[in-house]
Amino acid sequence: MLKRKPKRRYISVMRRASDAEALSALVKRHSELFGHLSLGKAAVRLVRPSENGVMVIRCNLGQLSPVLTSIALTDPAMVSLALSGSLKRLGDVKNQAKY
Amino acid sequence: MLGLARIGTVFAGTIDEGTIYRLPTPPRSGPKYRYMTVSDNMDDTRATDIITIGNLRGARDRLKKKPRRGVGLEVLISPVRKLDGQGTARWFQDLYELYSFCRSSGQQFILSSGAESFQEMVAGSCMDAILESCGIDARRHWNDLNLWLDQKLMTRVAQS
Repeated sequence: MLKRKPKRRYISVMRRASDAEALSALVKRHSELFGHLSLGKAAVRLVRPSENGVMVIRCNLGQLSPVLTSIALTDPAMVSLALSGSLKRLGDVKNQAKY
Repeated sequence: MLGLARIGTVFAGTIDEGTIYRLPTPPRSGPKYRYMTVSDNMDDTRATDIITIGNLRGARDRLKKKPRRGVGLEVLISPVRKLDGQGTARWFQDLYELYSFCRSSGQQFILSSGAESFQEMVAGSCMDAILESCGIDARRHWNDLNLWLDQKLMTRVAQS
């Protein structure tokens, strides 16, 4: 049996609420719009807690589009700043939060 | 940073090269900035470049009675954040219907964040995801929008 690691995407997200509140709002919105099955497949996780209001989350590549849609349509509003296949390339979160 | 090549915003007195300003009426003298006139009145199709559609339900039928090719029909994302799952699903359906109407009637479909602050802005990748969620080819949409914008702004420069 092949043990293939699923491909993931790391997204830096600027948010107003706390990390826990923002993540819970995102998860709720995702399940409202795309269902629990898609949410399970997406495996959205908080990877890096916020620095200057920017947190880093992770999701599976196959569900990237629903996750990005949910980010754009979540209340309170949050902005996806950068997207990458590795944490290293996502860049310095501090630099992204200058706005 | 957000993957947006062009941004439209309200004119606040200072001019930024890459920005297209949203004005309620055309300025009297030829301005030194690029602008588009925006209205939320659907009966006002002759005088404006972009019509912002607040309620998507029934918008297509109302707009059918006011034919004018080349008008931008703008839908905002920000009010959708307040809708529940069912309302949002309906919005997605209406969005696709409006897009189809725009393509068949020669109008330009515009999806806009409706942001009033940086924290309400929507990244290009999220816009693409929303478009693809309702079955719209994002690449084709952005190409059409770029062409439409260039055409509008070019005629404006020629007039001034």
